[in-house]
Amino acid sequence: MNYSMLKPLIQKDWYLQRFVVFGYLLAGVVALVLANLQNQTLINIGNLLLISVLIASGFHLAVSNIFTERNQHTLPFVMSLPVSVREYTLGKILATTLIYLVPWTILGMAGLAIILTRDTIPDGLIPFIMLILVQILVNYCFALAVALITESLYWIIGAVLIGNVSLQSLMGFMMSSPNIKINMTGSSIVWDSTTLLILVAQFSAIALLFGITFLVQSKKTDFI
Amino acid sequence: MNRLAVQFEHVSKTYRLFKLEDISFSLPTGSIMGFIGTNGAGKSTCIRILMGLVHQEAGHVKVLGQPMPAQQAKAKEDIGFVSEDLRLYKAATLEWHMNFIASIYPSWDATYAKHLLQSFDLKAKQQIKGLSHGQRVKAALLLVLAHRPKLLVLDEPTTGLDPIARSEVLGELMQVLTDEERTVFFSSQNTLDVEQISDQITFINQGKIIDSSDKESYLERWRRIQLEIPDGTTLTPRPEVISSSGTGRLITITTNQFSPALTAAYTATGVIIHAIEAMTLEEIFIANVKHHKQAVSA
Repeated sequence: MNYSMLKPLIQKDWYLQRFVVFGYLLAGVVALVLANLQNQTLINIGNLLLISVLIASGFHLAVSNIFTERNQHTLPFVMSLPVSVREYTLGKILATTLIYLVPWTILGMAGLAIILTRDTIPDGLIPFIMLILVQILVNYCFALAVALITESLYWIIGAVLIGNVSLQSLMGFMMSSPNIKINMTGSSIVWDSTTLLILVAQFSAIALLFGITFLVQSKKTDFI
Repeated sequence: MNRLAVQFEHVSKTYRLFKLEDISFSLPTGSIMGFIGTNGAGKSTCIRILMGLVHQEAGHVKVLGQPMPAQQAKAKEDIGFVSEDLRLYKAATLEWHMNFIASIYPSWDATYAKHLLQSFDLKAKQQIKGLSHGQRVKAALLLVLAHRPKLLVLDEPTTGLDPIARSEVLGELMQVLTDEERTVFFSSQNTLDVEQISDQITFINQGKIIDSSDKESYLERWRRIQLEIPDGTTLTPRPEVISSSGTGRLITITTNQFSPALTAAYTATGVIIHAIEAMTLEEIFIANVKHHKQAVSA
């Protein structure tokens, strides 16, 4: 594998997607400001907006960094460079994920910092919020894998819908789990076995999704 | 040093409605091959196989000594590729593209890139979305020429260009071709463009190579001959003749194996030769395709 090509490919995608990232960061900052106000309605709007920004930015990047490459016929340009399909796939996964991790990390950490610094919000919420954040990351990885494998807008939309259903299901499950529910309202952060098991499952899902993507991509005989 | 820049050996690829069958040809280093075919003939599929982007089902492909598609990344270090459907990033400027390509290819020649900017009348600071089709083609060509590839693969680069842009692009290509180590594979529907720059020509039709030879050989071998058949004389069928038209005394034949012996043979049987006409590459291509179709349906 020609690893030296990964750097220019990642830099290229960062350059082309930089305004997308800044736009979502800006929306995320607005969400955090709302979530930090005293008005409960505005706090709810802020929380919803923050989750929406994290979900939408993942979908947006999967579309604009992968689907658009084929749709706007820039894929032949990229594939004319000294890269194989495997290097292209690795470059896209790394570039898109690193770009996505910018708003995900900044906004996610800022959200967690608000919980830790506000006396009115119990610190026990941290594991719950972490599971939601990681699930949003899993959903992004699922959309990315689908985008790379199918390069179809319809399939990407389908993947986002499935991802949102899985997020709602996870939240429902956590609310019904006695351990998690009790710890959520506590003043200390408790990483119980159920939470840790879900986290392991989530990171395993990410590894599996990228593994499947590589496998499918390497089996493709017609890339353009 | 490998003297064959491109080598296709019995390459096949099947799609639902199209089949590329037993494609074999080779392109020596330093030569310029014009690859001519109609829409859907298989030119782009061959080029995608050549670039390693489509995998052949049977046969072997070597490009610059590298087996394809396995070593496509290595081979592409020395390939410059421009196709009619290749687009640059709309939101970025040509200068950004130049810096991007320069960061990938150590062979990037900034002085030559500057020269190409001037001769193509392009502005480095301009965004790609503001360029016309002709300017986009020239920008793509600039990006590949300035990293000085050993093999240039051009898939219908002149399609849709106005006459001025076409002339500028062909002119720059002709300059490039003075480098004897530079190999060019040039596909087009426009036989006039191919005739101007190629020294080898391959015709492809319905997924099959129907003829492949050097340009001079085509122009020497193919002739249209106007004959008059006097009363009492019959025109004997000859294997060198691939088609004939006309009725009665005046017949026009087309041959792909012209030689003085052919005209001598006609004259000996009493046939009068009125004219022997050289054929253009376009006429040769059309006659070749028709002959191939007749041979297939016979």
